[in-house]
Amino acid sequence: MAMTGVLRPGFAQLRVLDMDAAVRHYVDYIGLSLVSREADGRVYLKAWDEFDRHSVVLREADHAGIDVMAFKVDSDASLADFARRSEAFGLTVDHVGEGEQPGLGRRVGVTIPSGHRIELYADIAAAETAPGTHNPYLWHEAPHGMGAIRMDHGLLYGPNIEQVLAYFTEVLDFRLTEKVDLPDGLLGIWMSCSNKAHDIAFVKHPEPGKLHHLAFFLEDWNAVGHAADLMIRHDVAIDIGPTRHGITRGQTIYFFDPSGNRNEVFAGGYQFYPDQPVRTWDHTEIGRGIFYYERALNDRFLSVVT
Amino acid sequence: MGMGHLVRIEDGGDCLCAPGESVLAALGRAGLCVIAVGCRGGGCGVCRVRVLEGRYRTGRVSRAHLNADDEEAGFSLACRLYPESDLTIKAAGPPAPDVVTNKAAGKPAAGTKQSGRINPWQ
Repeated sequence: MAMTGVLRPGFAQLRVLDMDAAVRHYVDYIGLSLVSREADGRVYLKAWDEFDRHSVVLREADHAGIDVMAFKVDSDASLADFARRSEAFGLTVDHVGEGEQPGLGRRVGVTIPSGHRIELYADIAAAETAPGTHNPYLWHEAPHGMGAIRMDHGLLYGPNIEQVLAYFTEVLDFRLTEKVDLPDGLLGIWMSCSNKAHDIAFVKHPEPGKLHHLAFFLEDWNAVGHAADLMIRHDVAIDIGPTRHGITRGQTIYFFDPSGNRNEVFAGGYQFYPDQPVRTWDHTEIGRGIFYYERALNDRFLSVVT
Repeated sequence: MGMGHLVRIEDGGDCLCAPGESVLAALGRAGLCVIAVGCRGGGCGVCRVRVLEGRYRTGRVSRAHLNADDEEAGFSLACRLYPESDLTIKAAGPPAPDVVTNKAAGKPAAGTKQSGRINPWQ
């Protein structure tokens, strides 16, 4: 199957309490590049191996969390098709005009039953410092900080994840790769629109619209170790890790930005193909599913969100 | 800069908070696990405390968890609470959990206490 329709997580817009502290965290520590600061105060960032203009948007606000998770689709025709199918699914679709963010084309947006705003777009300007394409080097300048390669995925917390699963799989053509099934129903769903073990995940939670984490992809286990060394040096609040997830098999550290938004650095994970069966975790082994080496959840996994 | 200030936890011991150090960080350094530790950035609200006595300043916290009335009443988030005199505080958030669940059995591990919060086994 060629990859069509929704291609990948394109950008996330996060709310931060202190912009200067946030920029230090995401640029100096995680290793993103500062693309622009705009007149409305928003700051635009990208990772070194991304071709598009930006993938993380920071907005200063009086409460932390996520404004929107946006996905890039392959064409304007797909964008129109997904808007039509979202309405047929029963969601209200709104439209954000071209240029609301610099370099970004028109977007269609929905609020899904978990309370999160999801947007789709087809067009975004190319990055000024995009990866090379003609006899390319690995990079123009050596990656700095933790060396984040790309914004990789998000895990969102909210209610009605059965309906969220239906929306992503039936409307946006994602595949369910893994799930946590408890005796009283679904606790979590991991979904892919690509070859990745997950592009977006949701965990059942009573409060709508919450962010559990936004993840950045690193090269390998050594890079995860280096990231941990930097977190200690810069007194970054670590939640757990370095460790591995049973779900997705990713090697990971959970940590927090200065506003309390959880981040993840993530390496590895298996390659997903759409003919693969769903992997299921039940209540007897969920600890190993989430944190493979600890074989236990920490309390914060289920309760600390922004 | 002085030597810091004494932070007393009502019913829970005390510790010395160094200049510039948050109350939550001081408690952690002293091994006093009496306040739940969350994001440590003022964003998640789990380390909520009430200051009963003393002067202090606070850093930015999420308005989703602490409004102006709360602040007026002495509530604060321990991760963004900086003493300017000796303080007496009490926990005002969810109970501080130990490690929560075991693992393979899917049941509370012996010797650990349950937080009473959202729990997939309930």
